[in-house]
Amino acid sequence: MKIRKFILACAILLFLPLLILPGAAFADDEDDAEMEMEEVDLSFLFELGDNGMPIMSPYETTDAYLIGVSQIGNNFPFVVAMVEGSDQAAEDMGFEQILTDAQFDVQKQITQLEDIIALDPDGIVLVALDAEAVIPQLEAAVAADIAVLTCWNDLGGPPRANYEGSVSLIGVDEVQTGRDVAQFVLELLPDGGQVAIVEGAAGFQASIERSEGFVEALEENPDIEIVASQPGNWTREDSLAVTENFIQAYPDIDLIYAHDDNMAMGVVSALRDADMLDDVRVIGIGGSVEGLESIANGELYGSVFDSPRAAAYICSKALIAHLEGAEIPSDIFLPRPIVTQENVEDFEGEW
Amino acid sequence: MAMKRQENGQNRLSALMKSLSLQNMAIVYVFLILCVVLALSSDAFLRPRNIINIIRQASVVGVLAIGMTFLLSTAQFDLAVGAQAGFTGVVILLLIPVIGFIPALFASLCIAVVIGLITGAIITKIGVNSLVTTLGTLSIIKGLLLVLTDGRILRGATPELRWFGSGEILSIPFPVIAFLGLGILGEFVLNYTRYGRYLLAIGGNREASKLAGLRVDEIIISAFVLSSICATIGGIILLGRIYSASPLGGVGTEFIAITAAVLGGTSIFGGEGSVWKTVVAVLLLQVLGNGFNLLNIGANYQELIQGFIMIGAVALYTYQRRRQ
Amino acid sequence: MPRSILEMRAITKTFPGVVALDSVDLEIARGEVHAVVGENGAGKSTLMKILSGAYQRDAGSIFLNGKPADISMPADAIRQGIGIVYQDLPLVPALTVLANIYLGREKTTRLGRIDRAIHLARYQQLCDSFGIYLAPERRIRDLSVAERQLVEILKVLDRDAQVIVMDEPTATLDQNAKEALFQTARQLQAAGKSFIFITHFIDEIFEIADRVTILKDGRRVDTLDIDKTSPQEVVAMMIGHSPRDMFPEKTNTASGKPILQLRGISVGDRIRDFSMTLHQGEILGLTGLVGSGCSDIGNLIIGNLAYDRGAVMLDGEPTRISSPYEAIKRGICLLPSDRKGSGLLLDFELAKNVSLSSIDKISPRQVIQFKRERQIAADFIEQLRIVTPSARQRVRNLSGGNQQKVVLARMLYTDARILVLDEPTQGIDVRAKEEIFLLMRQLTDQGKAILFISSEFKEIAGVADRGIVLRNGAITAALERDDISEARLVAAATML
Repeated sequence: MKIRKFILACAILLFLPLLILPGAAFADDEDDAEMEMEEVDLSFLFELGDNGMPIMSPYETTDAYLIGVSQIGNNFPFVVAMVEGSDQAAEDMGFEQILTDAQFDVQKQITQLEDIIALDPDGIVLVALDAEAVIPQLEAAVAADIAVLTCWNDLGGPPRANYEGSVSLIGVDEVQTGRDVAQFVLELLPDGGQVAIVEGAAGFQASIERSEGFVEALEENPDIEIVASQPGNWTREDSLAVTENFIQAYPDIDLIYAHDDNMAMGVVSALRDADMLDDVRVIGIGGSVEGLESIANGELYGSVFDSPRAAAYICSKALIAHLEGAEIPSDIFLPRPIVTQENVEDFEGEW
Repeated sequence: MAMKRQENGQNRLSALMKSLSLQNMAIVYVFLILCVVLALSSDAFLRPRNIINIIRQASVVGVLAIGMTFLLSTAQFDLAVGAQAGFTGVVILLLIPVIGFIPALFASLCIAVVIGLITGAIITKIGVNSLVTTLGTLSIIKGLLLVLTDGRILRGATPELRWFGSGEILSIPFPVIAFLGLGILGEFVLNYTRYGRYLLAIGGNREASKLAGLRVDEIIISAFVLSSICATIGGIILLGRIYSASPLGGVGTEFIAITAAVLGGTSIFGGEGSVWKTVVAVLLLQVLGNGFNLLNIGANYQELIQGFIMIGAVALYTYQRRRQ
Repeated sequence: MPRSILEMRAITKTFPGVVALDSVDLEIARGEVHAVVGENGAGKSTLMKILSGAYQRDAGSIFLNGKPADISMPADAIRQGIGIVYQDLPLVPALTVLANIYLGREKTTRLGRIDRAIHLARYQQLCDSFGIYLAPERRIRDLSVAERQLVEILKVLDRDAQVIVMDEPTATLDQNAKEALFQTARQLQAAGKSFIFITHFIDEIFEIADRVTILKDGRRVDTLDIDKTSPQEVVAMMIGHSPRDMFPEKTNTASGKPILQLRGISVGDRIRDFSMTLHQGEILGLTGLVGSGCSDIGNLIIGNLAYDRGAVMLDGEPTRISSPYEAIKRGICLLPSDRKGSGLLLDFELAKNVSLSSIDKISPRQVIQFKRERQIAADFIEQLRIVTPSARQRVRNLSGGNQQKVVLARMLYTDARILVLDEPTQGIDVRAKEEIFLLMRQLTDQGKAILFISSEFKEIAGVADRGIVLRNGAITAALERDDISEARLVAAATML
């Protein structure tokens, strides 16, 4: 037991610099999320690989649990990868899984949750489509002594914090990600320049937060000007059009930050057609298969890597650990390293 | 004789005045006003490159909207065309490695014809209304998209495909030529040919058209085939522009297409249709988006402004018409 | 004679070009069932619409209980005790009997909820006082036509109607339901309520009515006690002796060769064993009351209605025509009875309506020659004397008669040799009627054959060379050229 702890401690010491690489280089003392990560020992949930991403490994258990997984919509590649992670976890840890797909319909998710609760599982991994709508179901599950773990999307109450009653919130810190990208941009444009943002869509929390941290961090530097911020509506078509219009309005643009890799590919298309790929750097979020390929080809400049597979795996694992009696921290933010052409071989896209 | 000529001249003048009236041309005037406003507020707006951009950006929805105008003229509509455009991309990307580039394009058009025939036959021969039928086909196509792509974005576009998105003929991009070309052709067919007259007559009064000896069912089916082919052409342009096919691609575009057709004065109850005004309405919506980008208007305000302009345009000509 | 409850005196109403009512009197006694009869266009509906407040009278006065009544809108009529039971029964199918009766007049509790108890109590009281019973919780959509009628009657009774007007109440009822309705009427009659029955069925009057008022061409012919008259006398008064001069002379004296024959045609229960022969150069009249199946014959000839049994022969050859498209190809054309619903494209220009069936004539190589299209329309405007500012006028803005001429122009432009005209004179003025009859005769003189379907017996008698009468889908009379008369047509259509 002691030996194991020792090895874990060594591992953490070894990998910690990698984990906080983006932030660590431009030390930000007031960063709560990092503080937390440094303090809390998460090694029982995941260890980090060479690339700074968690390695999936099963939690030792002999019990065969019944776990419900309430997913948001299987026609979105990111979710498909999450489902793969959940399936992998079920196989590795030998629990039975009830997987539901809400097809991006809040009503559907509510009824599906009710169905899951009726089956009386040991726990539920909840990927909520709406922060408020499913809270009654969460409470019903807790009342029925079913452990609920909030995965990726947070529920009501203060943002980026676990909702009372849920075992834990395991996800990402979008505001911090925005800050990290901003720091990276400052490094890329030491003499200042013009930056444009292709947002997700109006009314999306992820979109708001990804801009929030980014804008806030860049505003401190007067040499960098954010010339425009327009919605790409999470689609490639719209991002393509928005970028075409940016090029007309702001021909001297230096960098475009897209709120996800799919939109970033639209941005890249527009720049390629206008023969401006060499002049404008594009940064996305998510590390999609296509995004990583584009980075390797030198078209997309960089992206923030997500592993939906690992995230879903870790959520299931944390739930099992909780059922086995382990203490799970209230909020767990997964690492999101920045990928560029230099380290792209270390990553494998999942969506 | 001289009297008569004068009368003729007056008639022609009053006909011209009537065709330029607010009732007939509201959407065109709104479009022109918007263009003037944007030209005054952004230097970039009138640049040839920007104008080409706008038309190119509008091309996918535009081609769908032209097909939709034909359908609406017969008092039908198809909610599946957006998904079908996305479906086209998936089919082509899956078929290229198997049968090659040109055969894949050809196959996608054949599939379009089949989808149009089936949809039209269900609506006319069985008598299910177009809302239910096309919601059904929409669901089927969305399902097929998921099954075929496994929920992932498909890649593997060949360089030839890019030509449909950005290739140029006489330095005019292909999507622009396809969109405007189909617009001109569509306007001609709908309002100047026998076939177009049949479509409008059926939309005006299906029963009367049937009793007047029109082959109503066959003509409605043909309109579904045409719209389906337009959806596929739109899908090919979309594929050429974004170079990949996602399981969500194109879904939702049908509503913009219907909106544009209605803004252009095509009645959803049939009998009236103007392809060129549909084209103007598509451009209006796109110019609005272009303006938002050029002037960097916040995302939260965009829907708001768009809604006001849409209702304003339709209210203008509806009000004029009611006063008559 | 008991004291009258309702008196309409010297009611006059004109519509542009037509005098619909010319100084008509109607007097209803308390507790009386009063029938009002007359041919189509005699003025029955107009008179009732004036009574209900839907129309305004031009002259005349209305007294209720001997006092002048001011009825200028439907609400006035209801308030003053006049209840109209409509033919198309405007009830809400998804709601219960109770909810329908109190719809829009709901009593609510202090909290704003509908007070069902009050409704129910009132409903029970209402039913008890007239000896009627209908379960209050049944939904309208589960009721038969007769029961729905009862709901309508209860509705007007609840509003304290003294005079109940029923427009063609038996048209859609079977024998038993009819008996039940008459029974209800007698019970209400005993309770002092009065009825106005508008009907086409002369035999029914003698079962239920106390008196009958006969209208003709907007005038009251007479009011008779039912005991002192006979069906024959009533029919004779309905027909009167109309001036013959509105009809063109029947120049056709001998039948040409048979061109269209129907043999033993049946369509479910609607048409039973129907046969007819249409000859070249003749006008064959087909008549019957509304709903007798005449329109079905027109539709099945042009392939718009499938028949189960029987045969159709064109020029002596067995033929099966399965669509209007084929019919037109073979020279058969229909003028539908519902001019606006299935005859015209109301929002299309006149010229486009004329060319619709034969666009190929003006679009060689697909492209429409607009100039020629308008020229052809102009020719027809002149030939048929269509009153319109131009060939580009939307037909919606034309009068009924001119609209009908547009449909005729379309048929003529197809060069059809068999014309099926279903109620071609419905809702058009006398002048236009005359013109259409003249045109029909001219066309048959040119060798065309016309099947003239109409429920106006007078017109069939005046125009057709031969006549066939339908009742409930079966032929009740086939009259040759010397036998055809209005009286015989009416008798065959209205009496068993």
